[in-house]
Amino acid sequence: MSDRLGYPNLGLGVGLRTVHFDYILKHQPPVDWFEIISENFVDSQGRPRYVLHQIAERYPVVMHGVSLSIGSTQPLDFEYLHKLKRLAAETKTRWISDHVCWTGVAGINTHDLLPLPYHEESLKHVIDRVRIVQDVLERPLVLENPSSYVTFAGSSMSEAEFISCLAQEADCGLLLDVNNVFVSATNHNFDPLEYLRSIPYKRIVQMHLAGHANCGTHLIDTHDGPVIDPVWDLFRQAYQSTAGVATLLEWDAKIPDFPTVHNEVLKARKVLQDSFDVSMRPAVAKTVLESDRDSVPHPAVMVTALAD
Amino acid sequence: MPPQDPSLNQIQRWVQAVITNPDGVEQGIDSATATSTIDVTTETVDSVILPSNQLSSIERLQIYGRAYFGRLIECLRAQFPAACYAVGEHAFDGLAFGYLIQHPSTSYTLGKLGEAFDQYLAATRPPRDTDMSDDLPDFADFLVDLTRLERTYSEVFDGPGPEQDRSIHPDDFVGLKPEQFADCRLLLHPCVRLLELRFPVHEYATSIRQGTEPDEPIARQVHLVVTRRDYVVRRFEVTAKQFRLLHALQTTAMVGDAIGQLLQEQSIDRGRLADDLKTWFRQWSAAPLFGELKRSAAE
Repeated sequence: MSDRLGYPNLGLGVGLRTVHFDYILKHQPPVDWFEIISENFVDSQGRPRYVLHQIAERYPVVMHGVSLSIGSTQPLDFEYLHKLKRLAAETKTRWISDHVCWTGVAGINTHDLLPLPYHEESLKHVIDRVRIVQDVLERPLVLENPSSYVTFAGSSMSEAEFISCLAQEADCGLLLDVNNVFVSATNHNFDPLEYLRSIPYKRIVQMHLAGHANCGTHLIDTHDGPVIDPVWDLFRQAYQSTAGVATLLEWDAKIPDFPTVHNEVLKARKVLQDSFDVSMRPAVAKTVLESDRDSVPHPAVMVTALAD
Repeated sequence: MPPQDPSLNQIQRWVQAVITNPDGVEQGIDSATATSTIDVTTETVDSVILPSNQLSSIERLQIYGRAYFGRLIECLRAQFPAACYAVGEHAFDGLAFGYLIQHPSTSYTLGKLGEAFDQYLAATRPPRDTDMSDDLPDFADFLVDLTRLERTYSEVFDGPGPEQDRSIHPDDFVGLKPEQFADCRLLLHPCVRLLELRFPVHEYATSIRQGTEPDEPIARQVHLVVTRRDYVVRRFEVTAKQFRLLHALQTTAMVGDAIGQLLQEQSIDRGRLADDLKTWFRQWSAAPLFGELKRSAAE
């Protein structure tokens, strides 16, 4: 197996969000690549898709989904999969990713990335479905470790074990979200470094960085602020293990202007410098932002209409 | 007691029943939907969901329970900003909460989340004030119309538009004899929506979008055309006669039949109609409302 399943290291990217459309089209900022939320574009016949086409002509694009529901026990949505495939072809997307999670059963979509119990039954179930999805998409799927707030009594393996087995058996790629590792490690009291050591780094195609909220008793993956020092530390570790993979900053709530978001991901360059002078450290947040217990985990990104 | 090893499907049905229960996670655990899947109580829920060092099993589930409604209500606020302003955030959240209970999302996209919101508000509106003898539209009608408009904006914004297709230009009518025109069908672009409204809710919505204080809504009959040009949603008012003509054209009547329906109306000034029609079709073509001029097969 080649590193990253043959997928390229695209450099430092930014999540494409509607509020930044005009800025990007006007200024064409020097971003290495963009990641889109697939569901915001697969059905679009309006400005979002029109803008995406223009961006895809200039920048590499990656599709990141939130509704594949690969772990759900309800049947896969093949119409949705074919729409993903069509959009990927239109935009020459480099890869398609989603999450190791389920979003609903019995016809309902909760639009949450719900965690799975980690055991043999769920592992086999997800492996089987990943193989089907890869057959339809005709490319290796890339799956992200979720952030989670519950663990199941019926789990018989750790998340790192589950994801490692899944990637090997289904022959898929991994999107390592180091913020999710940090959030889940805090919430479930496991060692994030041990987690990083456990997963097959050659299958890591991409990494995510994001901010989160500290609710005192637990962390919530809100994507609404800068990346904190401990997450940068995990990122540095993971980056060295992988010898470098495409890295993207997610910022989905309280979204600042584009240069602020872009500058946040560019801090990764400084973080990665071995001869890093402590006095020159970027102004990253030292502590997690205090937040209330009603913080809502991502995803909650949607496109809204504009009328004259 | 829970089964020894609940299946993945049982776990997922149980979790979903618990975290989407509108009365909260504890009521969700005790609900018939949940207990028929995994029979645990709030006292024995640890046998399914483990507590953490800091949180009980129920508190951990409550993170998902709060997020379920919180996230979707936030999306509805974004999709209906003017309606949210009109009733206030607290009242809007209550309406959205009731809506989500009756209309949980069944789609992979949040874009469809609010597609039945105006219908829900119409079906659950408070009774009309029986003391009002003139049966004037009330605030509930205003809210229904406003949400209908905002939903229409969303659909037109991201639905099929005229940008990549040919549109009928005013020049396309040049040289067309009246009898030839009468035998044509003018097909409206699929993005064109014709709305009959009881309030000028489009003006209200525009004020909200522009960040200005909207005028107090005063009922008046509005005939509104919503369309799209250059990927931006456009809207303009038309008269009742123009509206009926456009509606007839949209329901695939021949141009002559559509005009004929108009001529049956008592209030039509027949002397002016020919000039009016020229002006109207020129304006509507420039909008552009028409995608195709289909001439009769006989030609």
